[in-house]
Amino acid sequence: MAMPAATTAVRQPSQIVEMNWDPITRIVGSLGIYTKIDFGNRVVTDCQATSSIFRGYSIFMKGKDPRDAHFITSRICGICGDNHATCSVYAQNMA
Amino acid sequence: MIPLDDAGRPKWLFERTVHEGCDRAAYYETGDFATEYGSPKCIVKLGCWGPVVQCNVPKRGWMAGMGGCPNVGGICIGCTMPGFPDKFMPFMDEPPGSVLSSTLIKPYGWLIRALRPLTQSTLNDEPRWRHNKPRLTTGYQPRA
Repeated sequence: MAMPAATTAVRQPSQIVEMNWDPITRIVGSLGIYTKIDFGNRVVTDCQATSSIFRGYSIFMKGKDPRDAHFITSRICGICGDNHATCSVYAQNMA
Repeated sequence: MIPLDDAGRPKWLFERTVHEGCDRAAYYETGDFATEYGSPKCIVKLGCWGPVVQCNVPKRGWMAGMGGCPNVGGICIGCTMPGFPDKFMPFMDEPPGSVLSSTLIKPYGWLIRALRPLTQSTLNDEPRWRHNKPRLTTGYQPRA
């Protein structure tokens, strides 16, 4: 995500609040977002994303035939399997 | 209880193989195999495990009767079998059993494809009805 452009506004006193959502509700998957938000200056100063589920795809995909990658990665998610397949192919084409 | 096979799987899903429901099975029968993706012919040489995989998706379609993995050109990777994925890897190589079966079916298929135009040439022609002979050959069957 692009950083907001620097403004010429006066810098306010910072009020940094730590806000975490782990796991995020009402979406499929177990995405966790950890942020530090500066409400005084209306800027997010830090943001980390993680996942609390481990299934081992990144481990067992090593050493396999690369042409099989999109078949296996598309099974990560039954809703969005297509984008996992596309990303795995893009990564191979870029390599 | 619905009929189950000896592994406890419902027969309506797992009794028939992918090949038995595949739209492209006729190309396999005549030994007409695709050598690259995008061809409408049988894709067993590109890695389709259809002839041995128990799954009825090509028969019933994926969405409301349409689609189904090998019907649209995607190789069957055997994802309904307990041996998936390790026994089917690498997916895009020709399955070892199909090397033998495709070699055996090629002579028979070549014969069929050679004889097919002969039959088609007579079937594509109407019966000869324009003549003055006493017996009609128009296919007319009077109700008598």
